[in-house]
Amino acid sequence: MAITNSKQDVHPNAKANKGTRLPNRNKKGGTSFWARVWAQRELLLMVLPGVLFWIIFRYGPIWGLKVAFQKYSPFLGDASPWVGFQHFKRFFGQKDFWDLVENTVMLGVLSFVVTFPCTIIFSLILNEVRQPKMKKAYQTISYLPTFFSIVIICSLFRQMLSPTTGVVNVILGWFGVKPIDFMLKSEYYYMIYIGSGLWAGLGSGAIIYLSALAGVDTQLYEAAEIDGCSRFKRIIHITLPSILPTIVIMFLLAIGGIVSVGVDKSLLLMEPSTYDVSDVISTYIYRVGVVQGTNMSYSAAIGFVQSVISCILVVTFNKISSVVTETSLW
Amino acid sequence: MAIKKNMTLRKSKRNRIDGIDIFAHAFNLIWSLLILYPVLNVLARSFSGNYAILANKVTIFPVDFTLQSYAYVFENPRIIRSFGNALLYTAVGVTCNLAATVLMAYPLSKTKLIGRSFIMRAMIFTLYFNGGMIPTYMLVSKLGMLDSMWSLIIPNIIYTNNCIIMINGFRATPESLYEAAYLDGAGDFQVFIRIALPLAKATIASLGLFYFMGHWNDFFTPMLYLNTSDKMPLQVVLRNMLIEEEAIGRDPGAVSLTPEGIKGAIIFITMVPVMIIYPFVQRFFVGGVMIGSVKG
Repeated sequence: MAITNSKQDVHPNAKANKGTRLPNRNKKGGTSFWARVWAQRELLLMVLPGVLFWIIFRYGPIWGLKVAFQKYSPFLGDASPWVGFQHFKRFFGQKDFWDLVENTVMLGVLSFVVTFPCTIIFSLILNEVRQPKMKKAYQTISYLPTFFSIVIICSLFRQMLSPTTGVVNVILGWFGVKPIDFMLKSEYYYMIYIGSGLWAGLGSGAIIYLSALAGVDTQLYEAAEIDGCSRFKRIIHITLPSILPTIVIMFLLAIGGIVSVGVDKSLLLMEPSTYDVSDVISTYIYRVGVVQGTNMSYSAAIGFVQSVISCILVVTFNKISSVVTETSLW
Repeated sequence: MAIKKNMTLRKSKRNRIDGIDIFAHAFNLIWSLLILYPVLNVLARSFSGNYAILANKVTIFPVDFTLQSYAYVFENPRIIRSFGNALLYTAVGVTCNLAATVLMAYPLSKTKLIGRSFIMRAMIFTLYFNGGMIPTYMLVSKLGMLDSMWSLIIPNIIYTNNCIIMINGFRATPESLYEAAYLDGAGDFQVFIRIALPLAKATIASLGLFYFMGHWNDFFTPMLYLNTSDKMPLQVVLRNMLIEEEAIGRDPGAVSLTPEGIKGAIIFITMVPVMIIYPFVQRFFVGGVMIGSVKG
């Protein structure tokens, strides 16, 4: 049996994940489905716990989304009465709805629009450091914050921005600016949110681009140099186009995150006085569904809306990308 | 001769420092400073006296050196217990994560596996669409896992991204290495234990690091699923002490100290385990990000 398995393995398997099952080329012929199951029994047993996990904890909650269409009561459980789209209507009709959506989209889009190009620019700048040891040192420092928890990152920012002892206010003080309590002012919220994202994420985000940059054919640079192409022009005309596929893939991977503004970071940075800009869909779900714990169905419905929007975004952009650049996620 | 001259000319031209070099170094120096300053500043604060901190005299060197803040932190049973909790959750969590992930990934790295493409699709679909916070919370609560360590581990025992990384890791091993073992009559499980696992060590180390950081740094999942304050891990306690600043102000033991110094000490203590492993694991981190970027 084991030998039969290994014979099948020899077949080139590069493209076999496209859904077409390999034709059974066993020379003994006529191996039935159950014989194959028996031959793979150990592999199937190994994959079983994972599959069960996926069914229970990944598809279970999707099935659980049905509470969004029920009036959930802990006593009735699954037998809670069905109410159709009532919760969705309530959410869409609410005064807070547009504020929440606006905050979520603003935060998501703004941080994406700033972070994504900044990561690429940062990698390009780092790549232009020609002393290998210096480059290594800069890079290692740049992704140090990746290892800090979000709690620590936010605490560091709070400390640096503190009105009494924060270094930012000390520096502003040199120019005669009175101390500002940045955390409590709505107008600085986006800056803090995006700034902390850059501080923590620029270095690790650059790793993938840097390796793509290392793979660019050096002959191209030499040819361009002989043709009298300046260093800046080489970056624009050779380096950037060479890493374009990587950029597209990273773009597609990041796009779904736009509407799922992280609940953890928001919870750490927000203050009641900045709720007008800092309250996003996920923090609202957490407050209504878990902290107050009163309205599971309503908050599940809001989560449903969020999931659907982010799913649509990914699928749409992937479609656009596969048509325009022939690069796609799947 | 002429060629050699030409070579040296080109070489010297290439080594000449131009505007872009200066800009690249200046930019990276400033960025490194921006990264390091807050970290060093907090460290310096944790060793400084209260008056020096309040007078803004502390930059990256301690002023009026004292260990008072650390004494407070180490005498605080809440912090010590949460530190132990975090170590326990992380150790058990990472072990379970790795075991579950390699078990799932190895069969999926075999093209011949029955139903492979279906499982892969079903798995990747959940990356883009999931039930969200509330249905997951209700499920965990229905399974009776609320307020137990397992609520932090089981519902996220396999991360889809890490599973894909692991599948690619197993695939990187040439199939021919397995052949000999199969010919000797070894079953799939034996081949997995004896050959596939040892050969995929580097990938497993990267995943271990990702899972470690996930557990050690997580504060939201424990906050969501745990209720008993004795069970809270370090990050939740840290968050309560740092973000809800009153926590320290109300504590009678802290009256004589400036909260800033204590905050620095807590932040630094949380960083210590990560700082210790950082030099050893950072190459795995880079390696892991790289494997992850190669789509399967």
